[in-house]
Amino acid sequence: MHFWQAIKMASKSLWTNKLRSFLTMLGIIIGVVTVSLLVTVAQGVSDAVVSSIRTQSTLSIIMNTSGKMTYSGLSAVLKSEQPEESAEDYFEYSLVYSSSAVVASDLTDFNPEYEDIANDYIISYEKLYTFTEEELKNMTDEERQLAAILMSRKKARPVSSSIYAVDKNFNDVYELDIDGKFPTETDEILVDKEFIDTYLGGKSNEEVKGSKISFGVQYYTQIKISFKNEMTSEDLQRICDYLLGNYEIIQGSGDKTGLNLTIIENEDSSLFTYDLENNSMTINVEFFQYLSNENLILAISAIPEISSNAIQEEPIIVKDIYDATNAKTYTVVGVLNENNSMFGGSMSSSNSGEMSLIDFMFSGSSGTCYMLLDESNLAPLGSDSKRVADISVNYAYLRYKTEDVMSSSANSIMLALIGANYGYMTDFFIISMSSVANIINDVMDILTTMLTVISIVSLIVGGIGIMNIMLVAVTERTREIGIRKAIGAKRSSILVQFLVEALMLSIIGGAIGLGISAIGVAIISHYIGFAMSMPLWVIAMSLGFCTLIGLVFGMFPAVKASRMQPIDALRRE
Amino acid sequence: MLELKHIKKYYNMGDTTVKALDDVSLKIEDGEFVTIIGPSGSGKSTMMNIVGCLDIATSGEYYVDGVEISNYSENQLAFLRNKKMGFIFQGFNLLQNLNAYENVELPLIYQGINKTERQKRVVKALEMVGMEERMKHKPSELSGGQQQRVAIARALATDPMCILADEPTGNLDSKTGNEIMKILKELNQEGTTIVIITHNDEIAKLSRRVVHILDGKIYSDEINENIAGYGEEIVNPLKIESDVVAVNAQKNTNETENTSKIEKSWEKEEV
Repeated sequence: MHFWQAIKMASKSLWTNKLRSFLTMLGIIIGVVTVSLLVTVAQGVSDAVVSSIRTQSTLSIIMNTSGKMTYSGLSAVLKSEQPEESAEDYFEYSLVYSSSAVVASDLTDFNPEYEDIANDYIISYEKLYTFTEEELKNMTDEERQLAAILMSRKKARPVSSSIYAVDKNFNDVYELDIDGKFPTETDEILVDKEFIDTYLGGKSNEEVKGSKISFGVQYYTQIKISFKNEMTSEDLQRICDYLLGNYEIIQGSGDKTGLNLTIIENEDSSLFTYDLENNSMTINVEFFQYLSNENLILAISAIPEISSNAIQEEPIIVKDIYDATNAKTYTVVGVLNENNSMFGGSMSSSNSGEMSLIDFMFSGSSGTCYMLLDESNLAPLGSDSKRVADISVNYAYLRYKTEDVMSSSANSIMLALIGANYGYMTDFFIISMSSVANIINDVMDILTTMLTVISIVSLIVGGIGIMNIMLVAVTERTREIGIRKAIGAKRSSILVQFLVEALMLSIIGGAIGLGISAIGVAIISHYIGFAMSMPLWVIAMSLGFCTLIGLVFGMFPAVKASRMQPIDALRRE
Repeated sequence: MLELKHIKKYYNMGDTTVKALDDVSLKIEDGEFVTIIGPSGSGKSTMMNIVGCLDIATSGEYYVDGVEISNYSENQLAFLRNKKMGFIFQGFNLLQNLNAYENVELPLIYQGINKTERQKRVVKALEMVGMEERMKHKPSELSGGQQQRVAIARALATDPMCILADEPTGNLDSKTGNEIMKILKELNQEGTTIVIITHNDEIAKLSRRVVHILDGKIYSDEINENIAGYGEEIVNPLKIESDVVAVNAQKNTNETENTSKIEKSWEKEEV
């Protein structure tokens, strides 16, 4: 008997019992939907996350060199690590965070993040619980871990009345006492947020006015500018120059296609005019014309931060501090952001209304990078500007063109830094994003395997359903089997007929399941917001497994049917 | 030619052994119209099963076209049934989810005949029983008589050596029953061996040879000289027999060779 005939017969009898066939398939359908949908989504999300991490191709270098590492020093090392032939393209951009002010800020937030890493890397600081290398060597792993935490813990800012400030150019950090020992050389400082809480006790702007310290509200605006066409580096530089010349930009990033800026507003040069009561704004005509004359602007969107500050009832931002001893007023340009860790600050652009020191940079079009030194100066990596050269650096953030270049360069950079006598092995800690991506990948692979195994169980349950219903069918159709045998059906014909029925149940069920999953994946992708497609291996695996289920669980009933004796089968009603 | 030699069929029912057939010898020539008659429990159904190759005797020899089949495997028997036997049952035994055409086609499918040939033979068989108009009807849409006609067509389709009918009129009223018997007689006149198993004396009266079975043994085996007809001319049975035997003797020698060839290939396929 031809296989085609068997399929025709099987589909006929399945169609005769439509509802029963469908319910039997349902077990398989659910199993296949579970397998394919979960695996596809898990795989899709994992791929998206990993690839978004990989595209960053970033390398973080944390340095504890007690101020020995300067901007020019780091530049030289990085330059020497850059292959001659691809001097322009090696780093897409690199970014160096600098200034001792960051040290003051980061120490608070540094610790909890690095407790885990302390298992592998001991990061030592210049003061207090410092252990010598000899001491560390003799410790057990647990002791070393403890030591590492201790070494970083003690750097945590003590809960005291002391507050920190940094001058406008980020050159110096000042510890301010409640008594009011203020810096003298500069008239602009940054104050700690804690200062406001402790020292001012949450008083409002109006209440404090007239006392020693006067306040002002700082307006911030986040602006997103998209360009119609890709900018040339010259145009970009021109726009940046304009913006920097006219506005106080505390945070910015961008490339040839657009810019993201956070601007401090002041009365003289306001990009936007706010109507605080109605929460509306007007674009400064001059700025708009400047850009639109060039026919460059695609869209500008701005979020005035002032409203969010008001709603959240966060402490208002100190603008001026009056030094009573010296009868001098200082302008506060920002507040050190306690929530900004090294990573936090670099990876998510600040969306709180507060200013953060580790924000940020413009990325140039040619692949060079800029470093924010203060509100008005950007310096490209490798700049030999005297202003930049001597600034001490403790954290660098490099982005590479390709991932493979990055992984090979991590170690060589570390070796070069050590070779250049900036510190010992323990003073540098390099984290590459590709290793983070690998970890995520591994985790998702395990998850996918688990999901697959769990779903296979539900497929087996579906298979048992098929076996059950086929056994019923065999009993029910005993007479049919008898007739078929009487008119000449061989054992194999009967076996094939029932096996094909079971197979059709499982394979059609599998196909329907895959169809439902495909729709499900489309819907989920639509809501998640990135495209996912069912991997081919999932389709092949699902159908393959359904076939196997049909064969395994259909075999017993089919054999049972084929073994029936024609006279017994005919006799039964 | 079908020949049973000392056929015994015993069933073990716990402690006792039921002798369904006890040393039965019977020879049915090609072209005969034989009625096997007996009360229920006499062993006539067992007889039918063994003659129809549905079952195998406990002991004794059974020759189908001169070939002894007592040691045949299940698949060889299936082949024989398919090729040489046509079955007509009391309850028609059509497959309910197939229409008349598909029911008749089924044995041909098992024979592995191609579609165009199948179509020719199915239509021909249905025409012979006058059912060509209703070939797309399901059994549930047909009357009992019509269903039995389809069953006869199914038995005919493979052009069998012998048609075995188990109470073919049992479920039908007498008028329809007579029609069915008429068809069977016509088939017989065209040369097909007909074996009818029944307990109905009326049917026995229509056949030339009547074999009585009682308690598993042949009680009598008589030639019915006075065949009841349906108005048509009563043919001289002796003349028919001698003619048919002469023709079939020639035919058999060829067919036996063919059959054994096919059987060999059939076995191979199974292995």
